[in-house]
Amino acid sequence: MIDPAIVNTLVFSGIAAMSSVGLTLTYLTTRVPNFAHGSFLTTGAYMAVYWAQILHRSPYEVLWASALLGGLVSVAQYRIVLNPLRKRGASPTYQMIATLTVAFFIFGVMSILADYFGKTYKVRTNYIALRSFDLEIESIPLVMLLSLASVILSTILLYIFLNKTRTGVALRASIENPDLAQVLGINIERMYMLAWFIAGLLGGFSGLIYAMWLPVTTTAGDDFLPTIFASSILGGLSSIFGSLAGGVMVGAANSLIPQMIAALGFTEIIQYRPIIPLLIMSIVLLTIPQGITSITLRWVRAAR
Amino acid sequence: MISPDQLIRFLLDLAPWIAAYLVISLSLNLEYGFGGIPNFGKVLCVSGGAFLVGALPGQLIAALYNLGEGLNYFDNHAQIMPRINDILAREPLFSTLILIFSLIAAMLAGAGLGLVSSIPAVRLKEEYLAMTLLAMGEILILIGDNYKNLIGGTLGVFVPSFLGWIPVPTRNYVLTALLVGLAFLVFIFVELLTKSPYGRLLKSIRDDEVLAQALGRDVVSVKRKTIILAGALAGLAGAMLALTTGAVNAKNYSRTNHTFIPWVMVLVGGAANNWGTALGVLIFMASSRLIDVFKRELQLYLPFDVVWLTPLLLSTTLLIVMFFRPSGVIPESKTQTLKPRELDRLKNRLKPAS
Repeated sequence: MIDPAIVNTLVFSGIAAMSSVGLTLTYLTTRVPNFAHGSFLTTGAYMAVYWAQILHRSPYEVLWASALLGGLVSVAQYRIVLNPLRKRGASPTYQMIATLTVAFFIFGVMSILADYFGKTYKVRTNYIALRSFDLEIESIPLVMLLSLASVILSTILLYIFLNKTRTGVALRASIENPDLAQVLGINIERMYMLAWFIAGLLGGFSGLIYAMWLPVTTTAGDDFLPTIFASSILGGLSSIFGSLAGGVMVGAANSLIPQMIAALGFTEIIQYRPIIPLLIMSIVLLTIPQGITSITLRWVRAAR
Repeated sequence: MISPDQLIRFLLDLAPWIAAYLVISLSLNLEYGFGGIPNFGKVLCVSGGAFLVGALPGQLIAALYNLGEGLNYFDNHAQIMPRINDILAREPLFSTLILIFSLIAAMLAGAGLGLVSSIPAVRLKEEYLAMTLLAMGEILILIGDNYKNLIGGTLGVFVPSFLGWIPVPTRNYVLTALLVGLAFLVFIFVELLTKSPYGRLLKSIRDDEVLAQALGRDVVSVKRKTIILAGALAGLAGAMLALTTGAVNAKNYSRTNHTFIPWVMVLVGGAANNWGTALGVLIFMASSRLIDVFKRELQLYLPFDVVWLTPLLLSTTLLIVMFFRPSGVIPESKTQTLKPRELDRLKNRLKPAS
């Protein structure tokens, strides 16, 4: 039997890392933090919940659907709300409020669906975790392995995609220098949509992992939002691999460290856990707004 | 058909909420509309004021009259609270003084939290600031929800009934009148403030920070003062909310209800225009309450709980306003300047007599 604290840390880090990569990707394209990013997670999580609760089948069967749904919601947000607003010359504050509005809208849709399915099929659709549907491989929960594998895999795939494929290079070009990319005949709009789709894909995917381990509510994604932001900010908010590292660190800070302190006798620390990502966020933004990657760079430069 | 009696009750129900949200929205309007500071952590100062009213006056009275007898105020809340209310019911003068004291203390708490949120506000740029304030706003609620000795943790606390000395039907009218009066005073204050030279200075900083600095204005200090003042107003609004509900529970304070909804009100009504903000508050409160009133009729046709329509309606409305009328229902008015003739007269008066 593996220590639940370690399972918790790995699952949590996985969710945080995968969703914060998405947040960073969308931030790079629009330069506006997407406060609706948690909604992709909720969408993916509910896909799994309905599949498991109504059809009584393993949520892992709809892994692809959770991810796809997240991706579609994300693209819809970009196409229907954010991009038109940007074209109308809305200020960043306006765009940020628009993302909050989208989050509120998706919360409404999720609540309606949860209520409707709950009443129609007489199943529990709020505050439910799907741990009982999880499998174990040699007494290791599958969700932990999946979380671990998907972080490693998505890091590798993203690296290959962004550095070795034409589309990935074009995406990077349209982020770094939109005008020049346009001159070279790259369709920036399509590239940005692709970035949003990947972000939603990762968000929906991590939503399913979330549902396998933590209780899902209609506000699950919004409650998780500070953790996603903290990971992304810790990674510098504009570095994809930085936010992967940030996610792992915030995940550890959120579950491993409080448990270690609690083991020393300060058990009260456990209930204040949600404050940790918020504190990380405020402190990092106030002291090193460029994120941890800036520190290492400075350090490397000093060593040279 | 709605009878006049029902209408009056509907308005009386609604008035305290309108008053409290008017104060929150006006303080946000002062920050964002006039000052250009995107405060995404409005809930911080609001919950600060509300928590203070939940925590301080009750414990103060219990300590003054030695009601606790060494008992924990929060553990034995159900026993101590009736005794506090007994005392308040017997002593009108004391109750009134404590009420005024609590309101002032709530404003001070809001101002203090405003000072805290001004630390990032003068340093960071737009989106970084928004994220920091969003994070800071949540911290206090989480502490209130988990730390039992602030406002009773998950159970919450009751607010002492400061108006307990007034017989029951009149008491509600007096409370409503008090809250509406406070909101009215705040409106006049903010309106006068934003029409004053200070208001124009604030607008000039919003429009061009560098220019204001070049003209010798201390931008940082003006911004900090604005945030502290808006924080004090938000603290007062929090106290008003606590008085309206008669209880304080950290669960009732959230990013959605106390940050996002005031933003909706300000943006729909019209930023940098206090009348617009007031209109936004009215539109929003009236429509969301109307949904509540017609809930039962609507429920017959829908396979889900009607309350969930509110987020859909609200977000769609805001998006429509953002797309087709980005300056809100009542846009910002032109800054009132002197008429040319008036200016000439002043110029002539300033000319040295020759």
